[in-house]
Amino acid sequence: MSIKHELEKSLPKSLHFTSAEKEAVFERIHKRKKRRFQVFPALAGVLVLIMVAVLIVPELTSNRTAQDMTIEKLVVPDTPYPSLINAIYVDETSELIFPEETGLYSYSESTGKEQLVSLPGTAYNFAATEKWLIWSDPAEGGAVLNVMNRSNQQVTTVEGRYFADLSIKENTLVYQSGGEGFYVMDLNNQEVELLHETIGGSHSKSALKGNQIVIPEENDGVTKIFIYDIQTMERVNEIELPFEIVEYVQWSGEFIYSQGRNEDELPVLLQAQSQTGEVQEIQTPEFDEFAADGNRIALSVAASESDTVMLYELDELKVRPLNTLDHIEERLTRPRFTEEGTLVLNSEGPDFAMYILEP
Amino acid sequence: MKNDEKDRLLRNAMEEHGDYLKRLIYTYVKDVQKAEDILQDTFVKFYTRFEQFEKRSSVKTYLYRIAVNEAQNYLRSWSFRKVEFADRLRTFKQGSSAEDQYIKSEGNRTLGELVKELPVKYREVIWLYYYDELTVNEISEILACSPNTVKTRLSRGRKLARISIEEGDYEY
Repeated sequence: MSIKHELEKSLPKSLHFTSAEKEAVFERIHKRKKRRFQVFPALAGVLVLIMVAVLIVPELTSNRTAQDMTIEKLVVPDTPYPSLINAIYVDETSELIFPEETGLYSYSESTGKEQLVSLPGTAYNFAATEKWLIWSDPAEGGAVLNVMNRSNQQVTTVEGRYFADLSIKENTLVYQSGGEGFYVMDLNNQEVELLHETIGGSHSKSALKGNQIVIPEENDGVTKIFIYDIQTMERVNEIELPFEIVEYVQWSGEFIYSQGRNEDELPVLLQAQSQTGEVQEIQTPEFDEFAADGNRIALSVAASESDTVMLYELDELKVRPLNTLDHIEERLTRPRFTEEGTLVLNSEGPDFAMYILEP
Repeated sequence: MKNDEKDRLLRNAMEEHGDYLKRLIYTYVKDVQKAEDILQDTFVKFYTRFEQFEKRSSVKTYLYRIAVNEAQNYLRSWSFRKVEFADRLRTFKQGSSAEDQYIKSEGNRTLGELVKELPVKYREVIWLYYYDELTVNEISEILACSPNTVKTRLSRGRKLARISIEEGDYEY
């Protein structure tokens, strides 16, 4: 009996690409075309207005650059793209930290690529600052959380069921454990306290900024975001977002931004005021993914036959394009801001360069 | 390229590769509905980014590359990790212990079952090589790694599933 036949036997029966599914592909493609086509008549009018505006009010065009931003291109040698899209940027040391199959690595222009810790497989749950490197390993019946003090390389381990959604603020770690909830750990002594008990699921990670963390939970077609102070361990606010799915929750000043959508709908950019709980929709072009910091919004928008990241400036509840990234030819992906306001982007050029835009 | 021509190429690609791609995606996500969704996404992306594959690779390797990327992205996604976690939790609650798994591993398992439990990087090369009948060079193009890496993973994957393969029961 051939290996091919043996492999096929391990598949569910009737795993075929049916005619109905094929037609569904065509329907989706034609819907996209139709959507673009429907935009054209309205677009023609808008274009006339824009041209007038270009002549009268030059600042309305994309001929604007984000002030005081430096752009650095980093090419990390011998590193696959799937590792780089999971890279985090540490502002204090100007280094990227990313997982590979053989461990966790760092890269900076000054030190080059270095292995921080050797691991038997790729660690997707990890967090890092200048002082700490934390990752979780699967273990029999649960998981192990590894806490490395980077100054002396000392590693302390903590056993548990599951450690995910790791965020570090100075000497404090916030993480999600099991389906139970979010915990706060003092990294100096590994003492743990329950912060938030979870009931629903979520399409987004939590977001930590300063002493405040926002934790999203989806339940019965709506999403709630819970805000806690991790020093006092008190709930500061609870805000309801009227969407089945909320993704990419993140802080920007006193606002919490997120991407809300219902099944089969395009996402919208949401801004929630953390203290008053007021939720507003930001007018944007059609987008797939975003990142926000201050008045800067990075959106992954349609470009030619594909999409790429463009930078925008937030003006009240609308965005205006900036030309900061226009000179970059490669397709840009995965926008994310650090707490210090550094924008980190991946690119899909031949060298998979990363772009770091520092304020 | 005219839309009619693109439609025709898409239809041919779906006829020729649709079944195999769906099965390949299933080996990553292990969920029939999700495999259907990802396969549709694959063909929509194939269509909308049509110009990118021309002169650079064959339709087949380009399609497989999109499908593998889509499946891998899903495995890295937050929603998948949630599902995976829920499954782990369920297994934990049902008391499927390491002992149960050991007993099962000692049982008379098929080649398919053994391959199914390999880490993704070995599993994918085995499926691409033995089931989809792609060459080492084609696989290296699809997975964006060197042919030597593919050969190493194939060899390691074969070793990990050696119980059946080395008995000589299989033609390969």
